[in-house]
This record gives sequence, structure tokens and C-alpha cells, in this order.
Amino acid sequence: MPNRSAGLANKTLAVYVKDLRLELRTRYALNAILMFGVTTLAVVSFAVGQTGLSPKLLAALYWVIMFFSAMSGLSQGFVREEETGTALALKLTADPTAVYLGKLFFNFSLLSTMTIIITPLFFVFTDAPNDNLAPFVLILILGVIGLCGATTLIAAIIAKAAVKGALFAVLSFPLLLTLLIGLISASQKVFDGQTIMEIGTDLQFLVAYAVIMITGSILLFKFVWQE
Amino acid sequence: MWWKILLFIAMSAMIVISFMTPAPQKMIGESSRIFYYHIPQAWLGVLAFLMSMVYSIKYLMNRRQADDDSAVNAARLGFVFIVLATVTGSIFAKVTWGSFWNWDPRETSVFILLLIYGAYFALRGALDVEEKRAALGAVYSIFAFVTVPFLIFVVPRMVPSLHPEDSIVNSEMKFSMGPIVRMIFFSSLALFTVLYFWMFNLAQRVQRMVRVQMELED
Amino acid sequence: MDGNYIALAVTLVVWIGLFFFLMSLNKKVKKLEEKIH
Repeated sequence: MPNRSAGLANKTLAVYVKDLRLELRTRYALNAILMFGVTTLAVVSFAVGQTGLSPKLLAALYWVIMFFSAMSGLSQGFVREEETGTALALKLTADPTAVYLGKLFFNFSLLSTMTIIITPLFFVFTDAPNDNLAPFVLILILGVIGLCGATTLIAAIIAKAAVKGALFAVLSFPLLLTLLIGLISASQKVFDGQTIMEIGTDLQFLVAYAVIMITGSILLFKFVWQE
Repeated sequence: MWWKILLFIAMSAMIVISFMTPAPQKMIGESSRIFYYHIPQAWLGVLAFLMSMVYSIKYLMNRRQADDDSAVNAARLGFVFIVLATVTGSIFAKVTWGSFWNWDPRETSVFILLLIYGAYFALRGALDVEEKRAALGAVYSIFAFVTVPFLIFVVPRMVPSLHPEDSIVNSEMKFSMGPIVRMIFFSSLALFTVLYFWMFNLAQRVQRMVRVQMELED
Repeated sequence: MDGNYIALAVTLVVWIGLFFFLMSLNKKVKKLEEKIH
């Protein structure tokens, strides 16, 4: 058993490194996701002005920006495999769980990078209260895991379809709306100055969501991958 | 055959009684009669979704075309019922609270359920190979259903409700049902469920005939 | 009370219409099924 799990970890790492190398060479997904994030952020902050935004509005704006950025870049992983025809080779050499986990970690890295760049800009542009950062960072980490956990399987599904871009958002949105409600509720409380203990219920929800989505994805992924 | 006549008589009687007895909720008044119709529709929307997911699991396990057809039929009927529930609920909201849509927790959940159904049909429309459509549709259906417990149990506690505690939406399970109201409500629930299964059965048989027709033409 | 009668009439008409539509559909499907067997 330890042997097999070591094999899985190695294969996962192999898929992850392959994607990372490809991404570092082309920077296709990162550019798309970053530019989309910055543009949305600029539009939003330009439209609503700088000061006097309520915590609720700030939290909603932040996660709207995150959602749209995620939608623009996270589908790339599988679409690229299908379009360049490398999916078949991957299918023969790696087992589905390793492929899924590799892609999940890759998406997680991608979205994390974007978050690290966008979030300071968000605070600069909107003048959001930045004296309560520790719980906010925790929410961010859980949010990014949740976003990736739900969308990686969807990306695999839409890679097989004829119209890819629009379908990704259409399929992801109903699943992510639940997560976004939780994220907005938690972020709002943090902007209001609440501590980690006070937002415990929201954090539990975010953890439960991520765990369920990733477990569900691992169980279902092989059915998508075999098609 | 006999049960159809029975259903016809019982449903007609239920409709007449539901309008002839005093309104179920005195404070809201006459418009509260919509609960005899609205809640069974919402219930069937969720039940159909559950059935669609169960058939999807069966499809992924056995790869039988018939299971996929059943999943689609259940989803189609569920979509109709959830649209009906949304429309009746929205009209009721307009009459009672003054606006068609308030983003009440239950409205939010029903909206997400509608979007899931919509996305499911959009996905199936975008796939042209039959086996692919069936398998990926099944995966999406199961994956989407996983979020439903969150919609029912968690979201209502997180979204601030616009309505005061005593409003019927937040406490509809608790609203004091007299024996007559209870009887009408549960018979309506049962009759709508029978109606749903009849419609489902018909949809299944029509689908089967379409398949046979297609095979004959080939 | 008048509104109630109107609503009752409309609901009954919708239900009776649906019922007879389902019955006719049932008949058609049955005919097709018999033709095939």
C-alpha cells in the first residue's frame, strides 16, 4: 500500500511538473488569468470609486473579481491536452487520479499566483480595511482551494465539448455560487473586524465544501477521463 | 386504468376544497392557498433531481442507454416543476412582500437549482456523440447534486433573510397547520407525486418509442 | 371571495386540460407499443 501511494505521489508530481514547465515556457494561462483579474479590478474600482464602500460590497466585489479571473484561466489545463492531442499519451501513461491531482495542484498554483498579485492591488484600489489580515488570508486559501476543487473536474468535462469557453462558466457558476455565498459572508465579517474564532462556522463551511468537491471529483474523474 | 380515474377525481376534489376552505394562514390571507401547490412543486423539482442523479450513477455503472434516458426524462420533468415552483413563489412574494424577487435563502437555493438544470441541458446540447453526452452529463448531474445539501442546510443560515422571523418562508415547516389544512396539504403532496410518476412513466415510454423508431429507420 | 372562484376555475381548467392531454398521450403511446410488439 505505501508503495502504491508513493507511486501516486510521484505520478501526480510528474503531471504537475509537466504542466508547470509548459506554463513557464508559454505563460499562456497565467497571462490570461492575470490580465483578466487586473482588468476586472480596474473596471470595478473605477466604477464604484475609492472610499466609503461597505464591507458587504467590498467582499462581494473581491469575489466577483476572483470568480471571473478563475473562469478565464482555469479551463486551460485540459483544453490544451485535448487540442494538442497529448491527452491520449497522458491517458496511457498515468492513472486518472494522478492526472486529476496534478491538474488540481497546477490550477491551485495558478490561482494562488494570481491571488497574491491581485489582492494587494485590491486593497490599494478600494481602500479596504487591512488591519485584520490573518483571517482574510485563511479565507483566501480556503477559497482558492474550493474554487480549484470545483472547477478542475468541470474543466475536464468541457474539454470534451464543442463550445468550450462559455460552457465552462455556465457549468461552474451554479456549483460555485454556493461557495461564493460562503466566501462573501466570511470576508464581509473579516472586513467588519471579526476574528478567526468568530467566523468559525463560515470556515467550517468552506473546509467542508472543499473536501466534498475534491472527494467527489476524484471519484468521478475517471469517468470523464475515459471518454 | 382505475387509478387514473381516482387521481382525476381526487385531484379535482383537492383543488375545489383548497379554494373553498378558509385560507391556511390567516395573517397572509387568501394568497396563502398557493402553498397547497407551490410546496409540492418544489418538492417534485428536488425529487426529480434526486432521481436523475440516481439514474446517472446507474448509467456510469452499467452503461445502459435506458438509464441515461431516464436521467434526462427525470431532469426535464424536474425542470418544469422547479420553474412552476419559482413562478408561483415569485407571484406570491409580489403579493405578500411587494417585490417579485428578494434573494431570500429559499429563493437563492431554487435559483441555483434552476441554474444547475440549465447547465446540465447546456452541457448535453454541446456534446454530439451519444455515449459522451450520456457519460459527461451523468458526471455533471452527480457532481452538481453534491452541492444540494449545502443549499438546503447551510446557505439559508448564511444569507441574511429580508423577512422577519415570523414570516412564513422562514418558518413554513412550523406554520400552525390545523387538521384540515394538514389534510389538504399532504393529499396535495401525494397527488402531485402520483401525477409526477405518471408523467415520468409516459415520458419514458415516449422516449422508448422514439428510440425504436430511430432503429427502424437505420 | 370572487377572486377565489376565478382562481378555482382557472386551476380546474388547467388540471383537466393536463389530464386529458396525458390521457391522449397515453393512448397514442399504447397504440405505438402494440404496433411494435
